[in-house]
Amino acid sequence: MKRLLQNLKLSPLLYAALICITTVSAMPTAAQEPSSLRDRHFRDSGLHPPGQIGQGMLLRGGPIPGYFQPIEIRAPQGTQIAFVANGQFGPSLLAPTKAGMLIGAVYRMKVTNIPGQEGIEVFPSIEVVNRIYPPRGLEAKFAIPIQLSLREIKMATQGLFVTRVIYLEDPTNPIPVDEPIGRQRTLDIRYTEDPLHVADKLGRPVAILRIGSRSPQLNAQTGRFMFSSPPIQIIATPLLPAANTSVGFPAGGSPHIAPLPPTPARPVSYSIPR
Amino acid sequence: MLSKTHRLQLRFAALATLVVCLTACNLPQQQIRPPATVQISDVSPVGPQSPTINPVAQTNRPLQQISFQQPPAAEKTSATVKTGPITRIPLSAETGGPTSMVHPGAPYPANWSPPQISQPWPEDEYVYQGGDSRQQVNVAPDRSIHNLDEEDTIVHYHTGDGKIAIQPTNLIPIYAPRFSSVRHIGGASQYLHRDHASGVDNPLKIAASQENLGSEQILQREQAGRNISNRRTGLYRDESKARDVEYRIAGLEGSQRQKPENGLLLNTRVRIQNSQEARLSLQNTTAVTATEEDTVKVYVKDFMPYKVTGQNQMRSTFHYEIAEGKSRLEIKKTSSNLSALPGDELEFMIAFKNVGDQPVSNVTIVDHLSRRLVYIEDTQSCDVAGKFFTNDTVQNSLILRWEISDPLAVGETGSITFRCRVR
Repeated sequence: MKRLLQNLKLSPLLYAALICITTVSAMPTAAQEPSSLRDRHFRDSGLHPPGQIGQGMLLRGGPIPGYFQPIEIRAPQGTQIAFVANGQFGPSLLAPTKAGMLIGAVYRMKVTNIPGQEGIEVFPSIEVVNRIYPPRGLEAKFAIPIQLSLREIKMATQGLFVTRVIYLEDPTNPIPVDEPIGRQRTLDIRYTEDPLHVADKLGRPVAILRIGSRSPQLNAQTGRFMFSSPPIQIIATPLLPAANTSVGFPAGGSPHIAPLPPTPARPVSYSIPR
Repeated sequence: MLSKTHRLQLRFAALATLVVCLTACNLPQQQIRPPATVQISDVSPVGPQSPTINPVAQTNRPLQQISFQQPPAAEKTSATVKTGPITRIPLSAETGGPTSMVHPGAPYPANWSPPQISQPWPEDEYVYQGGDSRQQVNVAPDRSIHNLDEEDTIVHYHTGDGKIAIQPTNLIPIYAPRFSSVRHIGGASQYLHRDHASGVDNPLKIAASQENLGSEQILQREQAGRNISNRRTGLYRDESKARDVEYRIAGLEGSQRQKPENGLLLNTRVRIQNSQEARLSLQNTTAVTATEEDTVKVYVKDFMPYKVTGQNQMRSTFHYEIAEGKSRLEIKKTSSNLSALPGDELEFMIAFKNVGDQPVSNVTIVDHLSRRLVYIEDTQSCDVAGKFFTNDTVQNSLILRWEISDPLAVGETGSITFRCRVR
């Protein structure tokens, strides 16, 4: 037995290999980590620059890279919305409209023909930070709703900057109230609070809406205002007739119209804007 | 002595064993919330065949057989709680909608779930109905229900031997995510304003230090030291002293009285010595004890006296004859749709059947609705005679309760339908 143990004497190199294997095996993998913890944003802030939170989510793994998460943009009746495609604003669509957006990318929109605010344009941005998992075939039906309220648009025109974190409500402790018609339930927080952390406590953040009175400073070289025009997939919304903008559109969109193919991505510029 | 080849093989074997052990130890330990495996077919529950529920997920339940053949609707009794037409819900696992929606570039299927976690996933996108999750429901003999959690649906009934049996329904996951938002309003130059807000935090610290002044009030609480003067118990000490004096006097009188009485009882004029006083006192005590009323006055030979320790007596005896057999009630719950948006209406059906070999009585179906569901008034219907109640809870959820009036015979079925709106 003693001879056997002497023969088992391992070299220092094998000792080092054993220590490395032990360390790697003890590290938790992404599949073992609970999703509720992986979706929390402990180190992020809702006031971080657009795109930082979503890119951080991509680094955490999961089935989110390359998935076009349907987003439903709701706005006051008659409002027109134009998405960025191929480096420029595309045709205006009548709200509500749906579009598939990549997680981690930031999408700029142009909101025009606002009721009571004619002649005023606002350029909100949407950052999708997480996805949902509806049953197969119901992805467009269960799109993440983002409501552009008239009050927020007015605040943006008055010089305020609104950051709204849309989160999936925790079903184990839901608020027993009916869903308001025409608006999204919103919790206003204090100025010193972080909207992302508050949303983390109430549910699972899925998207961030930023809207402010920012004039477009289009720079074709950097593409900074357009966030490098990430690919987008327009879902089930017909193009608005150019001549007649007051054509009614059934609520919820027409499900018979096939989605448009996603637009190609433009090359990302890393030049520092002046 | 082992050769070099053997030593190398032993090293590899030890290394491989260590890797296998570490890999096995690092496997996921448990799932977060393994939902019950429920397979619902597309057949209507009122048709010739009802949906079959996989009993694998209910191996811990006392009733394992939960699939049955439901008779046609025409054979059911006409006694109904509400005579309105019962709408037949299409029992289909709703996955309809446009199926042409394909997301090019998505590397994962739509119904993706993490490894070793079964569908439905994730749980925060589903509203569950039915079953007995979290705490296990208990029913007291007075038919009061305890530990009925939200989303639970159970039936309890009296079996043939008088016991109360509880049977939960199957669990229905309904895909109904609801979104809300948190809004932060700032200036266009938001970071500049944040610096200003951090300056506002400093006066708040001063306000916190002012709160520490309240600790002076704690010193005032020590004024309760005045209660020390309330120790008037010293008065009792005086009274006890008075008693001591009385006892002493009584003792003196008794000692003086004993001497002449002892002399008379013995009818002797012998002078009693001091050493005999103790014996005489003992005899006197024995004589006095023998005259007490509690002493046994009559002794019967060979009979031991009974000792009565209480008034509990067996007054009557009941005999039960319990028929052999088992009482079983099968119940299942179905939904008209397995996905819903806020504002949509869902119709639920609870079907039950006596699948045992004995009739059951006091059948009560209780459904604790989720807070995401609102019961639509006057939409419930039950095809057997009974009473319907609703109870609000402190959590603003609603409990629906049906109490079936007549006992349920062997093979008899019943069904309940009601509609809810998704919040």
